[in-house]
Amino acid sequence: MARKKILVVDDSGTARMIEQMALGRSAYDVVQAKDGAEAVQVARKELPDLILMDVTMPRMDGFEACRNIRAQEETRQIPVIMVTTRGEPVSVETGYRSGCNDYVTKPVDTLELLAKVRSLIGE
Amino acid sequence: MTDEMDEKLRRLSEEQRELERRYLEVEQQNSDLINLWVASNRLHESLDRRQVLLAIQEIVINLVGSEELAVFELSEDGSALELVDSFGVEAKKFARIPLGLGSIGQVAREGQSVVGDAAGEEGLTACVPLMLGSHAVGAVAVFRLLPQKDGLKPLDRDLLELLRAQAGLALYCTRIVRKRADDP
Repeated sequence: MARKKILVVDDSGTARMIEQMALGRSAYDVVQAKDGAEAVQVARKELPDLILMDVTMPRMDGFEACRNIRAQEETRQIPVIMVTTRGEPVSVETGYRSGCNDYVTKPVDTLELLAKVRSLIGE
Repeated sequence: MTDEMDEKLRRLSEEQRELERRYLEVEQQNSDLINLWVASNRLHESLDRRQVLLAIQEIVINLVGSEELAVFELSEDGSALELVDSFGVEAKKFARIPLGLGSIGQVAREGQSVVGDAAGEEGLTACVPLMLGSHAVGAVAVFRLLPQKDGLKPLDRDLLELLRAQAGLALYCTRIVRKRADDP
């Protein structure tokens, strides 16, 4: 049975590495993007089962990337979990209005992250 | 018969709960080890000074959970700490700190970390010396934690200890490489 694929989007190499290792150990395949603009392109090409999207990134932030992903026919249905350093209600609400399905705050608790991933796409 | 079955069922439930507890414990330990491995890997995967400074920044922001930090190196004459990188703090305020002055200067002079309440200065959560062998060659100061963090956890202390033990060496290596590149 094919492994589920997750797109990890973050301008921080450290954050991408952590998420890659946590997800890879748990039987998910991981592809990466370094900013929102790249995320939109990779999402269209790879059609992942889920996207982990950092919020604050150069070129295109996570909110705008999420809106773009929702606007594209082929990627519209992909669940998105926002990864944010800001857990304030305003940021969370902005995330949901951009079309994300859930969020986690940094520093990422990988066990919490895995639980949310599994709840959205299973294993 | 029923009592016996009930008793067996009760014991099995207990065993299952214990196994679940231990499973979560092991998973947490694995998660912590991943954090430490990634931090160490990032510090040493490049000999480019900018990349090492970025790695220190990312470890503090993404793994420890603070967007206010300052990275110092010891001046040439060894009398002061000079700011080499910062995020979320006023750089001018920390441009140069004489050795021994305030919590940060004392950390570098004595080579001892201060964490939590021991950090002393207002807004300072932790300060660790960057060690090269037994000498401090710099320091990393971590100020306010992100709002969603309610304090430093054991993993955070381990990450700060890792910075103390390895970031100084990583930065020193970048200096050597740069010096060799500059020399004719």
